[in-house]
Amino acid sequence: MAQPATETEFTLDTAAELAAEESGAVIRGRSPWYLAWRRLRRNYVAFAFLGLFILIVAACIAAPLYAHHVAHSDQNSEHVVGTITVHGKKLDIVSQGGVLNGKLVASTPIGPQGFAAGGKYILGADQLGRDIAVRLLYGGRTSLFVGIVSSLICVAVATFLALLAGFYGGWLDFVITRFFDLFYAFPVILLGIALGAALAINGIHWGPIKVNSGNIMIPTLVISYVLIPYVGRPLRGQVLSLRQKEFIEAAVAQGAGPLRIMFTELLPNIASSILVFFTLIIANNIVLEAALSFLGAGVQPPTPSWGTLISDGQGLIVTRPWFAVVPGLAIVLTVLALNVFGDGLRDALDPRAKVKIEH
Amino acid sequence: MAAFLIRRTIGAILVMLAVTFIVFLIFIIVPGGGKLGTAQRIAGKNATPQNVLNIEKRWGFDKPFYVQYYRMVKRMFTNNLVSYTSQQPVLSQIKQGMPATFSLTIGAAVIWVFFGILVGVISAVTAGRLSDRLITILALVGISMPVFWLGLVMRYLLAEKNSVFPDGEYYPLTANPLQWAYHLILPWLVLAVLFIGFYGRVLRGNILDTINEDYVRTAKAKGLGAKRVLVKHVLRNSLIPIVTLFGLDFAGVLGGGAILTETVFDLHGVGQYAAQSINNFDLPPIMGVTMYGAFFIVVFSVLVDIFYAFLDPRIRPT
Repeated sequence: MAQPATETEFTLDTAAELAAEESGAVIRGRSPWYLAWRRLRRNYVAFAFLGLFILIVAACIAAPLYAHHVAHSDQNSEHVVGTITVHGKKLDIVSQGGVLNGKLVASTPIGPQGFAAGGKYILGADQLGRDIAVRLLYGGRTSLFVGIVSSLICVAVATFLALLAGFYGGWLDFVITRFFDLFYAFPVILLGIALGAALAINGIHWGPIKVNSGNIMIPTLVISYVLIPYVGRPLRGQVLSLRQKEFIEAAVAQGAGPLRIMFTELLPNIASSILVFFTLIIANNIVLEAALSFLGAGVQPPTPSWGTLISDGQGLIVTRPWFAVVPGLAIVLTVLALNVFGDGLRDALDPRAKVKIEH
Repeated sequence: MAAFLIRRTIGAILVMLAVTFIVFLIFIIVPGGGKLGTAQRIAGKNATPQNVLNIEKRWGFDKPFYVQYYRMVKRMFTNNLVSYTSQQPVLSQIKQGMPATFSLTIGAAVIWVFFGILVGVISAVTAGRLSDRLITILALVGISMPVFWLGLVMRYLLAEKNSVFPDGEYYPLTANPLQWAYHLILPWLVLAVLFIGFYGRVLRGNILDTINEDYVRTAKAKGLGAKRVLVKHVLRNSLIPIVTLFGLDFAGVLGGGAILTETVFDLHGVGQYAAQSINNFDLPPIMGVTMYGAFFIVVFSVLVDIFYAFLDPRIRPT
């Protein structure tokens, strides 16, 4: 505390003077969100990584522009027999396999060209002559779509279940928590594979509802589903402890119904945890999507995603290592950006929320 | 203690029953498929119409759902679950894969626990300093890396481009322990990276929480050395959540979580068996691995609970 410059005796008169001075100044109320924002604002690292994430999203959204104006090739257009001109030389996009000088040579797609081919095949081609750079950007769209939409669904359902379980308690709580516990018996990746594989074969057929097997909503739903318990259980715990607080008692005394208490009293109090979970779950789901697609139980070809691209590149790892490396780097950067930002968000909002990251 | 054991065992049996029901839902009910659709899915891609009809009859897909459930469970418990693509019984294939999966998990677990604790302690002790920040960033990078991609890159760099390590495949322990370890070093390290990052971060947080406890202040006040306080008072209590986490993770990796590492390094474990079945659109092996994997996790978690109850009497009444 700074001492006043002139030492005066503290009397009732001086107190009254001080009070008069203070009432002139406007005392602003500061909401918890504002306080969190002030803490977050100073975390430059978190903001730098948020910027990186936005940049990656923007690049993927701009994929059609790149495809039409730079690469002149669509995501699924194949050029198995085409040629490109590099420095005045004509090169096969996919070299012919066969016997060369007595040795068996596999047909190999063209490697990374940089800007030598005028924007075509900057990162090379795959076995079918498709432009990898174009597929990388479109694949990013798929991966980000699956990651973000599945997190939205997962967090929304988990929040709803947590509110129901925590608010009503009793048998409803028992059923919901048992449901959560049951899914801890399955490793996340195995549950995802089981659902993904079962649904990938001939899609979903429930009377009038039909989702075809190639639809990316299938991996999206599978991924959102398998992580519900991991978000729902900690949220339920928070709701349960909030339920005992006086403000809920006050709301009940005012005659508020269950829905109003759940959505206008309890929900705002767990909103910060939900936001943190949402950010970190996106990161987690992008990795999970890649893993499922890599194994063939996620996004189905020919739709590109970062996972399917790594899977395609696996066969060419010796001759064209960059093919498998680049989509992996895209995943690492995206997920790292989300994890660092999510961490910063957690430190600012709610240091208690903990998301277990599984693969 | 007897009551605790009985209650825990009954609970586990109930969970296992629920697991079979979930497997039934996932593979038979949720995808739907109408007439012959389910049989087609179980039969695999290259099944003849006659095969599909046989499966429809034998699994009872034309009957009510409880008949289907009963027949599926009976089939799984009497070792009659057969892959219709390869004509191999699923359980014997899983047994063949067990040595590789066990070897991979146990070795990786030793590495990840040791380095996880080391990383966590170092970054907590030097909290706020450069080494802590560096470790935090590295741990985050480790957590953000898809394990199969890391495996692919490592295998390319260290086994295919430069032959520092052998290129994939499992070597039986009984044949030659040295070759066994040599073949597994790369998979062990790759599988451990993710967990090292994760455990390091959790432990760092726990230690920083524990350091502010009253009993730590007391220990310091009565004149104990810094090292002794750290090991005997702080670390001992900070490790409890890590032990819980380890029990779950270890069981999860053994029960099928190592599927990606096994596939990338071609180890022919249980996980890779399931992964290969995905590409053949062969469902029975995936059903088997999912169910037996979940069973294993349930049994393992009961064993961990009993072990805890011996260690910590406070858990017993609950």
